[in-house]
Amino acid sequence: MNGHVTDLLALAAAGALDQAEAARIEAHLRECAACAAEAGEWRHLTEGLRRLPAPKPSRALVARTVEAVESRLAERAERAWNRAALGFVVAFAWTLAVVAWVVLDLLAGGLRQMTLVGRQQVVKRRRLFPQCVQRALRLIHRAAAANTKDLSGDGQFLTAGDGVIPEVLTPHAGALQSGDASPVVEKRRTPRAGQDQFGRGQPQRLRRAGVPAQRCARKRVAALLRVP
Amino acid sequence: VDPDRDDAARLRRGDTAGLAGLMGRHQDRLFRYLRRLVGDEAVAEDTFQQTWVQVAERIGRYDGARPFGPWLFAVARNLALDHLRRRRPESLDDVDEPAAPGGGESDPLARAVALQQSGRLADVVAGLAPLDREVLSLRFEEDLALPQLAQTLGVPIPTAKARLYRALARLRERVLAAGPAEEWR
Repeated sequence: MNGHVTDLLALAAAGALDQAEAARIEAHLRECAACAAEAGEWRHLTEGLRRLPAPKPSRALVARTVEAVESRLAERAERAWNRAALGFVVAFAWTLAVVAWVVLDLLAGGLRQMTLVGRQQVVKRRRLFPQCVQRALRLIHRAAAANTKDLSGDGQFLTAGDGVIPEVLTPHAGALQSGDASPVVEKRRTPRAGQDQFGRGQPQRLRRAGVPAQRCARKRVAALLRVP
Repeated sequence: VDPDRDDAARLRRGDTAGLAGLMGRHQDRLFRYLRRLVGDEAVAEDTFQQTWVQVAERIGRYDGARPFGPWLFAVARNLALDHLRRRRPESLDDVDEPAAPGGGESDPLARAVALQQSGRLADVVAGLAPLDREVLSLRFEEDLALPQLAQTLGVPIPTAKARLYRALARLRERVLAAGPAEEWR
């Protein structure tokens, strides 16, 4: 079969050749009766394939298919809704947890802080208040003692009304204000260098600043009496 | 305007009217293709239904810029081949034993009558291997040109050409075993 194109005849009948191959086959078939006969057989066969009875889907099958697809689409939509709802719930829960954590932390921290500060203040007051009172009373007694000895008309401090002595100490201060001796004046004496009128040493920083010793004592009393 | 593209977009939005449009245009050729490929009516119906369900589920993956038909046939083909592999784990390219000539050699008249019956060729085609049936159906029933045929099969054009030739050669062999080619027109 040298020169024959039998291998291409089937594809030629199927219309699956390119232009060059188709032209080659056509030229050969004009000269070769054997190949032309075989090509005819192939054409018969392929024409038969094109006329095969075409099965079609039944209406029942189409209806079942549409029903199945709609059911599946409904399931998918429901799943999508469930996923969205679940996602919303999870996101909401997370948000709520975070917000609650922050709020509780703030509250707990504030309470803790308040409790701590309050406790510290109580401790400080318990520690300081008796000292304040004791020292104030000591100062007042000393001023009272001085008042019995030496009075002056230009009273400067340790009076009941000048704010240095709080109201809680007013009775004690009032006791100092005897008769016409108002205001109470401490025994006037010239403080020594570096000492106040109570004989206490003046803080170095105030001494350097040139603050008189009397004012130092006044400040000290005020500091002692100041409620923290 | 490509109606397939519009209907695919509607189906993507969950509108079953899009499905109705797509099915109306493709259901006959799809079922014919599946019927040839799987060979069995019931299996073809089952695969047909599964194909459209998968189309509805995976319509989001469909590229609207491409024609819908090849994508639909690719979905159907995967489902059908999966079924065939489960049913017949050996190669889908295997060929069943050729059927005995109708009527037998001892009865030429009966044989000639049998050969001329319409649908006889369909029986012979049904005896081919699934992949042979598939390529013949795509070429001669769906009238796909070689490039589209290769695209649907997922193979290069020369491979599709070779498959087509092999299927035709096997078909002719069986036909000749049953009777003269002229009787198969």
